[in-house]
Amino acid sequence: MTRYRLRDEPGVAVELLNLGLACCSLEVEAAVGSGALASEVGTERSPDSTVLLVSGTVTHALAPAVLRAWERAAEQGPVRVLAFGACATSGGPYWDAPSVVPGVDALIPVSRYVPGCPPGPDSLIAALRREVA
Amino acid sequence: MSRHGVIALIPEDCTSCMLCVRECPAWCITLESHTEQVDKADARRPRTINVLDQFTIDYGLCMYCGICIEVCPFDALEWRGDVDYSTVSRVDLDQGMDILAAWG
Amino acid sequence: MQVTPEVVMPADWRASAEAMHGWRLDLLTAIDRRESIDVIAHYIRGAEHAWRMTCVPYDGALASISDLHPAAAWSERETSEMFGVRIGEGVPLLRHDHDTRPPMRKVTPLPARVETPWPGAAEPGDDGRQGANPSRRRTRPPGVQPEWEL
Repeated sequence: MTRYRLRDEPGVAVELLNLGLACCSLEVEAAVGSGALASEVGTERSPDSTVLLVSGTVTHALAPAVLRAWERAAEQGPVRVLAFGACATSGGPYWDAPSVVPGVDALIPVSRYVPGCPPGPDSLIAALRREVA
Repeated sequence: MSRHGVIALIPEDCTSCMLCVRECPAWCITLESHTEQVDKADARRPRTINVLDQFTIDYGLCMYCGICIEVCPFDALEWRGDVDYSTVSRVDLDQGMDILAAWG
Repeated sequence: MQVTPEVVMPADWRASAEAMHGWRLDLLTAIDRRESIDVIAHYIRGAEHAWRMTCVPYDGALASISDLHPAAAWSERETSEMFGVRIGEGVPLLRHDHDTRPPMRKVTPLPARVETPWPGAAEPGDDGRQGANPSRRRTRPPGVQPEWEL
């Protein structure tokens, strides 16, 4: 789990647990690389917001790990879940595959859905802002 | 940074032919239409036309492949630029034809 | 890029791989031809491309080439379990539920495609009223195989 600050909302510390399960996670890296998300290390203060970011295809094989990550984060306090992209939302192009969970909301409650295949890095920042504002 | 936009609909150009719906690999387009008779004074018989009632793209499923745009014989679908949104509810990713016509 | 694969007999598969010494194995995969499986290898050397193909009967076997081209190791295991054709030892890779049918065989149904109503089944101008659309032909969604029993 990495602590970030949004450049446009410097007062809010977002703890981002990035479950990068497929290609959408490259967009998350691009968002971090753009400077709109600044990673923050060594702060004692508890985060204002904890966001579990599911970017990519959730397979049945990985479903227990996703569920465990959510449960661990939820033990510490409220967690907002972002379903980033078509796969995390509905299974996307793989909705018909027997090995794919048709949307992460079958496993954990989702606070916000970001459409796109993939959504752009700016869509991630915009969705995060809407969640933490 | 440029990226794919969204797929938009020009409802006036849609003939409800169902090609896009049938070619979509994600099955994310639904289309509802009905037939109407158009009476023309100079025509021997009344002509029947399809009238589009609803056109929906489920953007929770769409993979932005653009096949629907490619197959449309009447160019009633097109790419449009930056539309940035996210939703709190899954069903709100279903975009009806009013939104599809207006955005971008 | 137009390519014509060089077709070899299954017994000559290893010899063909040996002849590609100095080339890099880029891809090994298969195509279900409905009675047999075409196993395909793509090799690269600099700007050159070469394709080798062999035809293995359903549930047939093919010798491994992973000792000659180590890059084949993963793909051979993947192709084995996905297409139900035995390549080398056939050690499971991702699937350990071998009681189910090979997912990449065309006869193996995608249940979601059968259970989900296809939006393309509606006819133009058909709003469900009686007689609205006299020519009701049954259309099958693209990719959905007849034996999946719609």
